[in-house]
Amino acid sequence: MSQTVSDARKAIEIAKDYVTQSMRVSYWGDVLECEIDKEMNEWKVIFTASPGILAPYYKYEIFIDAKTGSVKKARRIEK
Amino acid sequence: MTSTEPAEKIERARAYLNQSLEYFENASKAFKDGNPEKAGEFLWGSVATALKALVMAKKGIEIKSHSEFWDIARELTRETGDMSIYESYKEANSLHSNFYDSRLSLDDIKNSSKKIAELVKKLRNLTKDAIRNQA
Repeated sequence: MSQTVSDARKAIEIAKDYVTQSMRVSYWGDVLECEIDKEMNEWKVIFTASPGILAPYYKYEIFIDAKTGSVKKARRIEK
Repeated sequence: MTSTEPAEKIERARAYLNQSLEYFENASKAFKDGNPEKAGEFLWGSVATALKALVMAKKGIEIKSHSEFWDIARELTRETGDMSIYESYKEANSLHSNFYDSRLSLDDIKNSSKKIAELVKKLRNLTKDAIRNQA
């Protein structure tokens, strides 16, 4: 469902939903960065999360289209 | 599940570990007193609090519902590849049910207790490692 992302809270919410549902990451950690690139009209959220009870927390980044709320790119950026 | 501040994690995990050990000792006493249902319930309590200790130590999260214990047991089995974790967890859960309907014999419960003791030991060691790494 298309949704405009007008604030950081909404962007974080989308990132959280995406990472838990599509990237099999069960444990959300901290948000390290959340900012909008006005030129690209996309939100970048950098956060830590963990894929399992015994696993450590890794750093992830997600790019969200500010106009539609869809995730454009998501990846783990730290091993 | 709810999140806990990092400073509290170790303290609460240790408290759960102590509680788990206490339940385990109470199970032995209940066996000696000839009360297998009570022994089984203490063994379940020991597993449940050991799981709480581990999840608290590793993730700062409080397990709030019975279904979450099942999820955690499955997840730990997947992460470690150790199938005995889930099998022993299931036995502990059956002892918990037995407290209410008394289907199992003393021998059944004693057989389960050996596997459950192993499970509690594994969970305790994982928790202690987690505490050590954060201290």
